[in-house]
Amino acid sequence: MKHVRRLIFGAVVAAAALLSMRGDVPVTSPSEDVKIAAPSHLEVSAPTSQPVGRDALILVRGAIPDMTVDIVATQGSRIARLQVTADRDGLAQATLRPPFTDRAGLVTVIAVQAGQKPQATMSLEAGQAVDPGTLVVGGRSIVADGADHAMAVALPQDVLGNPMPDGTEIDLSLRRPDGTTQKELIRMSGLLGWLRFKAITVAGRTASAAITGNSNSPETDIRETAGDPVPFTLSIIGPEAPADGKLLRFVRTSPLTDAFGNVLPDGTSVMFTLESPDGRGRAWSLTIKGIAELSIPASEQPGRTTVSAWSHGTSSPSVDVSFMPDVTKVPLVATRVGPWSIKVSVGPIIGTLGGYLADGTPITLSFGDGTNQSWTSQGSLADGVFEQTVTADDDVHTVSVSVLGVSRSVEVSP
Amino acid sequence: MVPEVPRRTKRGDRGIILLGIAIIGALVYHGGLLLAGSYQRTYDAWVHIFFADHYRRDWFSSWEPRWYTGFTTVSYPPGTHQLVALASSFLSLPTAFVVVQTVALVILTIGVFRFSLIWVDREAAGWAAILLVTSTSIAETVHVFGQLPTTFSLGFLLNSLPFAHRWVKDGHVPSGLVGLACAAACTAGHHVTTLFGSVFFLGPVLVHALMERLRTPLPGEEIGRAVAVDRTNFSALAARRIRRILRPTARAAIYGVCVIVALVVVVLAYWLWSRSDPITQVSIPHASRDSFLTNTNAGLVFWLIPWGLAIFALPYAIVRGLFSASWPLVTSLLLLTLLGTGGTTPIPKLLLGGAYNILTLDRFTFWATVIILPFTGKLAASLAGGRSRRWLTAQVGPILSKALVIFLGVAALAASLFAANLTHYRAFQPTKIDAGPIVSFIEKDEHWRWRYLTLGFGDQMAWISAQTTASTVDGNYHSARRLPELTSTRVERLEGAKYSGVSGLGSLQQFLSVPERYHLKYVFSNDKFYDPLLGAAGWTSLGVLENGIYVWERADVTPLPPALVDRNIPKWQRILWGTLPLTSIALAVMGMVWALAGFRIPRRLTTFIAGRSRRVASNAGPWQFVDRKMERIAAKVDPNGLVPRAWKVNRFVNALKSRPWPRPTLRRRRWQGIAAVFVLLTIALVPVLLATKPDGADTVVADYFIALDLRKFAEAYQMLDPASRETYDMFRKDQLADGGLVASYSKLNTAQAVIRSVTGNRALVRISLQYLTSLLDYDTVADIEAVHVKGVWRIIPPYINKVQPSDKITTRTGVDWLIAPRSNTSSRDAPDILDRPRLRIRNARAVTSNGQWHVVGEVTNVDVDPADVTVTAQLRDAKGDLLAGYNASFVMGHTLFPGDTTPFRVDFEGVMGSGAGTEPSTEFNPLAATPLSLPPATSVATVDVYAKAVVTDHHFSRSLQAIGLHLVIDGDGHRFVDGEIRNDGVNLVAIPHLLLTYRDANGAAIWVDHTYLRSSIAPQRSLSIHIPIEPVQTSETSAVVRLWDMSDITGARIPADPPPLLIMPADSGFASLDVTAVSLL
Repeated sequence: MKHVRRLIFGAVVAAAALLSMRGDVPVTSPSEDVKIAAPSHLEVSAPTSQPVGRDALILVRGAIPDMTVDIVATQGSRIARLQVTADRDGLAQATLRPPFTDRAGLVTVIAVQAGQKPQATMSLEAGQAVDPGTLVVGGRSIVADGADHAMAVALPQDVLGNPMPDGTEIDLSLRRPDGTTQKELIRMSGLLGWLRFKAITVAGRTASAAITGNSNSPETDIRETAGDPVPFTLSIIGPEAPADGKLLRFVRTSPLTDAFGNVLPDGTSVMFTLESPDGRGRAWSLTIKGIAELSIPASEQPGRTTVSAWSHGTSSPSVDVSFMPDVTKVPLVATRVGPWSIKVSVGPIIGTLGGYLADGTPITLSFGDGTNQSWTSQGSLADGVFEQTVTADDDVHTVSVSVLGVSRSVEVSP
Repeated sequence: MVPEVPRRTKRGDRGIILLGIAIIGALVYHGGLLLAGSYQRTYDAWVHIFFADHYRRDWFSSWEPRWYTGFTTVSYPPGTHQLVALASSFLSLPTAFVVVQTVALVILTIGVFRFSLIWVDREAAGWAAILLVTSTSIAETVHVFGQLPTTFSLGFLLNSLPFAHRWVKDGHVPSGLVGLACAAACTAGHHVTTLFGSVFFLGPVLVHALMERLRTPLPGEEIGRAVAVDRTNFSALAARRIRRILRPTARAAIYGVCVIVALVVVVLAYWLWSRSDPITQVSIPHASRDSFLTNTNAGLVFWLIPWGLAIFALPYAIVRGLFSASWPLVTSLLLLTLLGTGGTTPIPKLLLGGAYNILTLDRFTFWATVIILPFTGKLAASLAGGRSRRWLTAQVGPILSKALVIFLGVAALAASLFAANLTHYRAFQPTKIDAGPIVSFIEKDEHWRWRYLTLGFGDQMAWISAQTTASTVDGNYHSARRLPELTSTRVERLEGAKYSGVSGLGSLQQFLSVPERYHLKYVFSNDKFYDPLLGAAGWTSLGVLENGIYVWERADVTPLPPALVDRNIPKWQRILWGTLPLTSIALAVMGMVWALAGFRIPRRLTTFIAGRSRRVASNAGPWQFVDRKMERIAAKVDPNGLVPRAWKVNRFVNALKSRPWPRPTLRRRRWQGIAAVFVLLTIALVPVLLATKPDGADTVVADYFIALDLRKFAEAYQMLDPASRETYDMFRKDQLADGGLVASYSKLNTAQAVIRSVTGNRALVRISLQYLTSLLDYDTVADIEAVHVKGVWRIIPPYINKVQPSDKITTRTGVDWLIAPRSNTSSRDAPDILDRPRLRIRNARAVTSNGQWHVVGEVTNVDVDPADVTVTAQLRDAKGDLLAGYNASFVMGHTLFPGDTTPFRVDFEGVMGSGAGTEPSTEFNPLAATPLSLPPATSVATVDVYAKAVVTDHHFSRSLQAIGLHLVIDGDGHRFVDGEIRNDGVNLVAIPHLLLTYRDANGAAIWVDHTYLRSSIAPQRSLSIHIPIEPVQTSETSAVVRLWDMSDITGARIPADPPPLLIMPADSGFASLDVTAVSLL
């Protein structure tokens, strides 16, 4: 069985060799054969250069007639092995076919017979650049400060994926955020063509495209964004409000721009610092068209809240938001209505306008007993009145309420 | 009790009929329930289906990469899984499982019948088969536990025993061979059954066979027992007995050795694996090891339900068995019963030693309920028409006796139905999850390139796994766990981490904190409980799938490498693993069919075997020598000193049997009947009476909060005082108003109510509640007033704050981002890639506290896009070798808008439970941390801090304002930050998260702490805060801190610091304190 397999294999190899010698396959004639003398008289020749993807004819002269010649072609780590039989004149020819000839670069061809190993070299040249070309640009967002930079890298390739040879010209076009178009001619070097370009001082999009021969790349764009903001200001929106603990006042920044007048992108965080009679605070807001807005709840005590803002390390001058007094008197009644129940009634509380304080005005209720145990809860006025029944044991309890900075306490006996 | 001569009588034929009924019952009853989907609610069915899916995909593979970052499947015998995989060629996997389970039950039914025949007559054996089908233990094992290998292997084991009995007793070679084939098939299904079955099932059978032979005279022997044993006849009598059991003993030994060989060979790869990779993981707590007196739920599930009515037959079995030739079986029964009591007594632990913490002891109870079946079958036969029935009829008359027997039958059936449908009354698994949307999500956009994790899926996670090639860090077969994070803890599954206390949540936290270590990118959550944990660890919710499952994603996690570790065992082992188990099952089935056909052998083969047997016999020189020697000695027995006498050990039982039972008078029969009815009614009514007893005020208050926790609002509403409660709609609205950590993401751990005082119809109750969340536990104490109304206690509704915002309508503008989805029109990836946002680490500091390493600092997004930030710190020695790496997880804000700054704290942790003396506790302690354990003689020379980010379009609102903050000091000198957190947005902030940055005089962070607020903050509302200032005492380390944020490349500058928020007192050790409020969910 083993012998049969060997016979079949031999027959197939022989048939393949015969077919390769028929010469019915169109091949490129060597334009200029390079002959390298073998130690004796065996010579091998190959085309000096030819486009990739075509058959390459290898000629061997001076071989022993009717004897096999081994031909080895190498390109980098790739190897092709052929076997041909020389004719009566000692001439043998072989064809290197795709896909071996698909890659651009130098190919070394070696013919081996009877200990002789003459060599020839052949250059496979990349074809024309084809669509679509590849253009990579990064970083994809740079600061529009005239100093930051990005790099555009073009990778034109032929139909087989071979990069263009060094020196190939590439037209690179950039459309900048200010509407100007910048054209640059770059050349392939080290298998790619590249351009390092600086940002301009106008924020926006920079689109780029590369043209290599008849090949065009898709448009690729990057963002040129505003840099760090310059100092900005705050302004208070609306008139002075009463210190009712619930109305809101608004503080707005001027548009945040960088040194070149570019507005910072939407979503830039602005941190506000607040200082009021109640204490200090922090609040955050995001810019929309460069402007950030903060709502400040009215304090429950008359006074001022000082506000300043920070963004990217840049601060604004502070502004004072004032809240005027809104309540003068807090009526409070607390009565025991059950063994463990005390009913607390607050109000009616009259505002500075002479009406009941608005529904929802916050009220703080504190409840303590003789053991220094106390708890606090929040409530709100409805029609100027707040009522709540709390659970309490039969000790003496102190009930305190606080409305808009005005406090009142009563004691409830068992 | 043991029939001397098997006879085919009418009653014997009845046994076959009963067996037929039992088989039909198994097919209809259990098969029907399985087809109806009972297996879907079980513990283990999906796991076995997953294993079957493994063999269906690659029969000869021993490496399953989908669980635990890969595990070897030779860790579990493959017989049943391969059978399901084989059947799945024609059926779906679940249907194949149902078919194999049903067939296993039929084999088991036949096995019980044949096994019972060794001990009782055919009718009793038939009843035993029926009782098996209606037993609560089988119902629970199949329909609650979903155990296929257990039923399958026990069926073959029981079928092997009559063959073994015949081989040992009679030397019948074909029986021995078929018995061994059955034992091998048993091993193929479940090796542990063979291992313990050899002791508890095979042992009694072999002893019984030997005892039978011991009492059976050999041909030519003088018949009779010696009247007295003395010096003159002792050796002769002993030689006579030894001669009787010499050959059976040898056969028993041969059989035992062969069973061991089968046990080793059939699953040889398992033994080789367990030898090279022994189970070193921490044992997982199992309720079957609890004391059933303290953990009554465990007692119910693992003891009372499996025993069912059979427990009443235990005394009968003991009396009947201990004083008869069945004493080996009863001994085994008693031992199994004892071992099945778990931790109720210390005896099982003493008997089992180290194996106690590995074994699940409910298995012993299961075996006990099977081994008792010959006795219960005997009792049933007796009640159906035997001596017991006659006695009963004599006592209470024919009608009542019949009614009582029917009542027992109905009760047994009802108990079985109850056990089989237990999962309906008490869900052990989450509601069925439609796996389709999850599988679609995994397959979409190459999501299978990352690992995923399921939370709150129960055993259904195995079914998800079976339908995809994507892998998970978790799994559902804990013996195969490989990651130290899992093997060093008592966590059975990450997906049910909340049930495993600190070990579970701690392990889960470790996986969620450093997901890139495991390529873990997606979490499918079926339990809101985990949402806070995911949010705090920087995970982002992608939304909800069609089946209601929430998908969470962690940004910036690299996909799995294309080539994963493959630890297949050697090829020859895999071939054995893929062929031997099924071969042994096939041989066993063929052997049983052969036995059914009467062991018919072709004549030529018979001649050959006979010839071999003769040759063996003729070659048995030593045996013959010993036998002749014994025969000579035994011949010295004086025939005149022997008396013919049956083997009767217990005269008491025989006296009972022979006692005449006179028929009572009519009057007495009536009274006995009334007494029986009274007893039965009392048993039935006691639970009803106990259930209708009115609760006390404390119980009502505790039940109220338990009902609220379980979202049983209607039930809770009924406990409120009708006079003072609001309408149900208002009540429900109030209860749902708070969507915070405690109200919406917790489970009530304990609720203890104590009555403080009672006056008239009113009571004051103090309720202490402990809520467990995935982040922290919260204790609450409140006084609740209750009123006695119409004989029951009702609660006076507690006050609920209903402050409304001032404006009826509020508008807020915002900014949203959208990252374009992956391009599907271009082959180039480059346009899809966005730059990583530039970050700047403002400052960082490495400190230690109580031996634990921390790195604290601040990082700013200096770019123009929102960033999902990951901060990593690495400890390195002087040579630059990596000692440990960890991420900032819970103590930082993970999403930074452009210009935002967040403090961070990296807490280096060791593997949970890996440190010396850190035996993981089962008590929940969310703050527990396992200190990092560095190799001995190593010191940290440098600390590298990396900050990286990807652009994100998932973000949370920055609508929280921290206002009116000020420091207060209480009477004890403790410092607090008081003030308000206000939600200025228009959406609820479910879990406000406060980051506290302690700074030095230069403004650098020297410690970072955090706290979660327990209540949500509704839009345009505020929440008062009172936060203790308790900075940890830290020590500066000598390690050099190096910052890696690419600022040297990007040139990003550090923005100037804002002014300090709160100035700290000089004695505090800090210059100032900053508060950052972020929204977690």
